[in-house]
Amino acid sequence: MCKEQKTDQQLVSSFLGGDESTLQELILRHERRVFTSIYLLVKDKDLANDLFQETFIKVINTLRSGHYNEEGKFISWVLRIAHNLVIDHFRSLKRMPMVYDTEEYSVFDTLPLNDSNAEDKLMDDQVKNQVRQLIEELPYDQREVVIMRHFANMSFKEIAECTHVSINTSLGRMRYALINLRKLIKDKQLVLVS
Amino acid sequence: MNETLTLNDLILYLYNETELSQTVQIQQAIDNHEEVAETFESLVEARSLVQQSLMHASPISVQSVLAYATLTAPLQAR
Repeated sequence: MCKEQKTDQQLVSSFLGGDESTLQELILRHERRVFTSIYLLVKDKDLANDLFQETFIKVINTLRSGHYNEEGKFISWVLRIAHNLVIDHFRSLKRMPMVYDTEEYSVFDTLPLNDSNAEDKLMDDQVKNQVRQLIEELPYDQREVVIMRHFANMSFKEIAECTHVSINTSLGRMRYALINLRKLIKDKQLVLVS
Repeated sequence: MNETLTLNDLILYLYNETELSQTVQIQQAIDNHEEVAETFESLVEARSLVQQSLMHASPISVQSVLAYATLTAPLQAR
């Protein structure tokens, strides 16, 4: 019989109730979304891995300290932590990543993807790399809203509050992001997989 | 095309964030206006692209986090 998957909230509750094993399940469930979100903001794999670890260490410590607010979505909360760490990182460098938006990056040409997931094996690696490159080419504020909406499952209202802009601005950024992605697909003659 | 329909409305619809009445209005616009349908289709395609961009953290990073969780677990839980 197929075992029903527990929700994030159920796993968090189990963890807070003393079942440590559920933490591993939460981490493994969300590692791709968290890592991808960080990576698309910092555009550096080593740095993204460092921030990924920092994020989950903060998550673990906050959960254990009893300061987690169960009202929100778990993944949104985790990605807010990640996002704040990314901002802290760029603040510490006294610059923002948007400075580099127009530069060419070739890191994907040389870095192999982790192919441990069976689902990934079915995907065309080349296309995935190209897609990531396209997203990297978006301006920072557009990339940010794409990440928050797609990977953190935040509503546009929540994104607007988090980024201190109006909901129309959030929607506009997403609109431009999607239009730009379409344009980039066309310009680069990228063939999509279904 | 309904004059009150904006591209931002289409974005909200694309992400299932419209109210019921707005949903009906937008769906009708998509059904009845080729230009709106084409615009919406291109947005759908771009959205699907983003989902293809997921990648894994390095196994070392994941293991480090899991090891931290184990090492810092309360004694009774180990």
